[in-house]
Amino acid sequence: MYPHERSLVKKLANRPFAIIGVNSDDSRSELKEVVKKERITWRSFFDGGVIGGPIATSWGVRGWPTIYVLDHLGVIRHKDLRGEELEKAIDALVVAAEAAKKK
Amino acid sequence: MKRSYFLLVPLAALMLSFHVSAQDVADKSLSALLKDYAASKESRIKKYKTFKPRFESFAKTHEGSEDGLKAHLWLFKNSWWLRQENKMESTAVSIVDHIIETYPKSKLLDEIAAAKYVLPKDQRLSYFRRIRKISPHSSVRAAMLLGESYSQNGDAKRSTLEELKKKFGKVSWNASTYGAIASALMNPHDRAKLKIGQTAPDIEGSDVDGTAFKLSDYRGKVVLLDFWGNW
Repeated sequence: MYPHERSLVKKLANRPFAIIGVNSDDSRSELKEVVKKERITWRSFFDGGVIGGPIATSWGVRGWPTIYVLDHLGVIRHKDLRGEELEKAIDALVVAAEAAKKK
Repeated sequence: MKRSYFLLVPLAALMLSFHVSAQDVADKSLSALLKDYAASKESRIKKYKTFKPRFESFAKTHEGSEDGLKAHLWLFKNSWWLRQENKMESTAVSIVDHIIETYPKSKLLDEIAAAKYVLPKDQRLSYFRRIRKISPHSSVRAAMLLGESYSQNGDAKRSTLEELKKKFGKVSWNASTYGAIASALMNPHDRAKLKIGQTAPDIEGSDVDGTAFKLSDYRGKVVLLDFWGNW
């Protein structure tokens, strides 16, 4: 997942797109190490250092990773797409977000 | 350890293992024993079987001390690796009985609730209640209440969670609090609100550096929201 996410961030730099994580690792220090090692540039909520932390529990997340794609209005548009499908879906929404901005 | 149940490796049993010579010398410290365990290249199940006697003998020779209890707790959690031969629950029960009898006042008993999955489902509630009654520590009592709530449904569950929030809301639970997890469990987002076409519920929290931020800060951008962990 990391290389794909890195390439998305690179490809869509300066365009209306962001990756936001909700991280379930054991501690902030562990998360910090991963962020450094995997060159993760995107931001994550730290969800209490446990699987099934408060955020994941509120969202009913039972499997990791769980992926949602939200449009520029904050509406849920896709869930659990992967790979090329995910990328195409994001591309289309980014174009729509830019078009909406121009109006 | 809490994550080990995601690492089900049915092929593990088929893997070739290294021959490990019998441990002739008693292990001197728990940290060295854990280090040896971490360094072992065997499959998870094999590894557990190789190290089980060493942890057992360590627990025996250090009975009554914190390290002795830690060795028992290690054996308790790792009884998970006996589930394929149907010995997990009976092993876990006998260990937890011994722990309750020998270490009733220990602060470490909260780990029993965290590893609840090794205990038989129909006995979890009574074990957690028993421990909650004997423990002088709020951190242990809170952990037991949370454990109890996982074995309950409906009104019983809600009242347990309300008690948890009221009595132990500020007690820390991992890097969060029992109050936060009790609230999340009592009021999860309606499933219908998490469907495609719905506005995503906002998330408020803090990042790796502890800086507060919200999901809604990113309105105007397409967001890939990724629930992840590095495992």
